Amino acid sequence: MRLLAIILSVVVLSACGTTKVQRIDSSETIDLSGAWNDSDSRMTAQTMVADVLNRPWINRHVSQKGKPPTVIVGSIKNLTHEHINTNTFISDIERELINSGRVDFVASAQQRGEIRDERKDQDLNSTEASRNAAGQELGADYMLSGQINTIIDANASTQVRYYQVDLTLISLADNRKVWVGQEKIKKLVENAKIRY
Amino acid sequence: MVNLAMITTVKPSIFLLALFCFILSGCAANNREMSEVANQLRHNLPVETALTKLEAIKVEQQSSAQLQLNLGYLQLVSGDYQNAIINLEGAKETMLSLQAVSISENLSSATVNETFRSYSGWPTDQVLVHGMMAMAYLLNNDLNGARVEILQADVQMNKLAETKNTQGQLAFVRYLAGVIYELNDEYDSALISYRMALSIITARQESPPQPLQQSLIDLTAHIGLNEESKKYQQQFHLVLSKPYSNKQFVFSFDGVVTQMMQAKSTLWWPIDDVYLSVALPNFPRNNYVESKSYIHTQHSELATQTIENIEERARGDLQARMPKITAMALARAGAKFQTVKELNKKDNVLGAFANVLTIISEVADLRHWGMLPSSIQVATSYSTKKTLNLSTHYGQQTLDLSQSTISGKSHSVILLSSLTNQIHLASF
Repeated sequence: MRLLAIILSVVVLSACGTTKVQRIDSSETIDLSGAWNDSDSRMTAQTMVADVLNRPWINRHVSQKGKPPTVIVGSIKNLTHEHINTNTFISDIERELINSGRVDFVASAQQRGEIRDERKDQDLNSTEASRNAAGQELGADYMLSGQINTIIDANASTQVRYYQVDLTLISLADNRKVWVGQEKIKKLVENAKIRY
Repeated sequence: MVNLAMITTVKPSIFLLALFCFILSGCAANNREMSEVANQLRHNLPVETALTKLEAIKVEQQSSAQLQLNLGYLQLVSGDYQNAIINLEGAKETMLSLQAVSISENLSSATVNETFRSYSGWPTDQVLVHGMMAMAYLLNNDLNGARVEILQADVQMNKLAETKNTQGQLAFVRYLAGVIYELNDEYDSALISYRMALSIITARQESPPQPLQQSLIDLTAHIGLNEESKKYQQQFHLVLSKPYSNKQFVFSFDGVVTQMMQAKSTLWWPIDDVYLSVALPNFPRNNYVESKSYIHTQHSELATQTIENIEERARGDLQARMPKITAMALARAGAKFQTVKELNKKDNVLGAFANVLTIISEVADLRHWGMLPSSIQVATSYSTKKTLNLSTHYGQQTLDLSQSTISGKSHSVILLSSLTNQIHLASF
C-alpha cells in the first residue's frame, strides 16, 4: 500500500515542474551533455590566437613588408561526431585576431560579395563625395583554415570525448605554411545509470 | 529489476488501482492511433494524409520519441527534410536521455503495465534514427551533416555490440556510411564501412546485395589492395567496374513494417500454484512480399536488392527482449493476484471489482517505430545520360539528372519509397 502510494506520488508530481529561466554571464562555463559548446569554442579560439600571435612569422612579416600582416579566415571543417556550427568558432577567432591589434583583417568571400554589390549601388546612387571607389580593396597575405576532429570512446554510460582542433596559416603569396596550431580538449562524460 | 517478494507483499487499494488504470489508458490509445495510421499506409493511404493524422495525435510524454520517429520518417519520404531532421533529432535526444534505468517507471511497469515506461527505442531504432537523419541531410545537400550522423551511428553500434549480440547492427547504416565517405572522397573509411556491412550480412548468413559487392571490388582496387579486390571478384563472380565519373546510389524504402499485436498468455505462478493471465507483445506472421524497383540503363536493367530486412530486425529486437518482458509480466501478474486475494479476504465484492481492474490494466506495450519500411533496398548505376529511367511501385518514371550534369557534379543519391511517387535526388 505504502509502496503504491509512493509510486502514485511520483507519477503525479512528475507533471508539476515549471519552466525556470535564469540569466547568467555569457563567459560562464556550463557543461550539460559533454558536447562541444560555446566555452570550448571561445577558449580554443583564445588559446590558438594567442599562440599564432606569439610566433616568429608575424615579426618576420613586419620586418620584410613594413606593415602588419593581413589575414583572412577560410573554412574550418567540422569532421566531428557532432553538428557543430563552425561559424561561431570562426567568429571567435576573428574577434580575437582583430582585437589583438597586431594583424589587419579582411572580410570573407561572402562578405566581400555583399560589399562589392553595395559599392556598385553607390556608383549609381551616392553623391560623388561620399562614393567609395572600386579597386581599393586590401588583399590578404595569409589565410587561416583548419578542421575540428573527434575521437569518441564510449561504453554504456561513460564516454571519453577527445577533440582536436588543427589550424594552419598559409601564405597566399607562395603557399608556405607559416604556422600550424593544435589544441586538444579531452572530456570524460559519465551519464547517470539510474534516473528518477 | 524489482524484487519479486516485495511486489507480492504489496496491498494496493482499489482507488489507487483505478487511478492508475485511468492514467495508463492514454499511452495504449496513442499507440493504437499510430498503428492504425501505419496499417492504413500499408493500404495506400497517401503519406501526406498520414502525416496530418500523426500530427493531430497528442501523445503522453513517455511516447514522444515514438511519435517523433514516425513523423520524421514520413517527412523524409515526403521530401520535408528540414522537419524530418528536427523530429528525428528530437527523438534521438529523448532516446539518449532515457538510457538510464528509471526507478519510477520500473516500479510502475512492475505493478500496472509496461506502457508506463518511456519509449527509449529498440536497438534497431537507436541506430536507424542516425541512418534516416543521414539520408535527410544527404537529400538536403548537406554532406557534412550526413557524415556527423554516420559517425554517431558508429558510436551507437559499437555500444550495442558490447553486449555481444547482433541487435542494432545494421548493414544498411554501414553501407550508407560507405556511400557518404565515398562521396566525401574518403576511400579508406568508405572501404572499412563496406567491409563492416559485408561482415554483418555474412554473420546473418544472407547474401550481400550486388551494389555492396561491386563497391568492395572497386574500392579495394582503387586503394591499391589488388589481392583483396581479386578475392572479392572471385567470391562474387563480378569484375572491376570500368572507370566512371558518374555514379547513382539508389535507395528504396519498400512497404510498412508489420504492427505488433497483443497476445494473451498464461504463465505458471509458483508462489500460489496457479496459472496467471498476462498480456505480451507479439508480431503476427510475416506476410511481407518484397517489391523491387528497376533502373533501366543503356545496356541493362538493374533491380534494387535488399540490404536490410526491417521485418526481421524488428522481430529480432522483440525476441531478444522477450525473456525480460515475460519475467516482468509474471511478477506483475503475481502482484495483482496477491492484491485481489487480500481484498477478497476482506470483502468479496471489492475483490471482484479489483479483479476486473487488474484484468483491464493488463495491456502489452506495443510501441515501436511502426512507420518504418519493411525492407531497405539498394542499387547503383553509372549512367552519364541526363535522365534516368526507373520502374517503381508507381510505374515507369523518368528522373531528370541534368541539374547535376550542368553543375558539374557527378554522383547522385536517389531515394525511392513505396509510400509516395516522389523521387528524391541530391547531387555531389
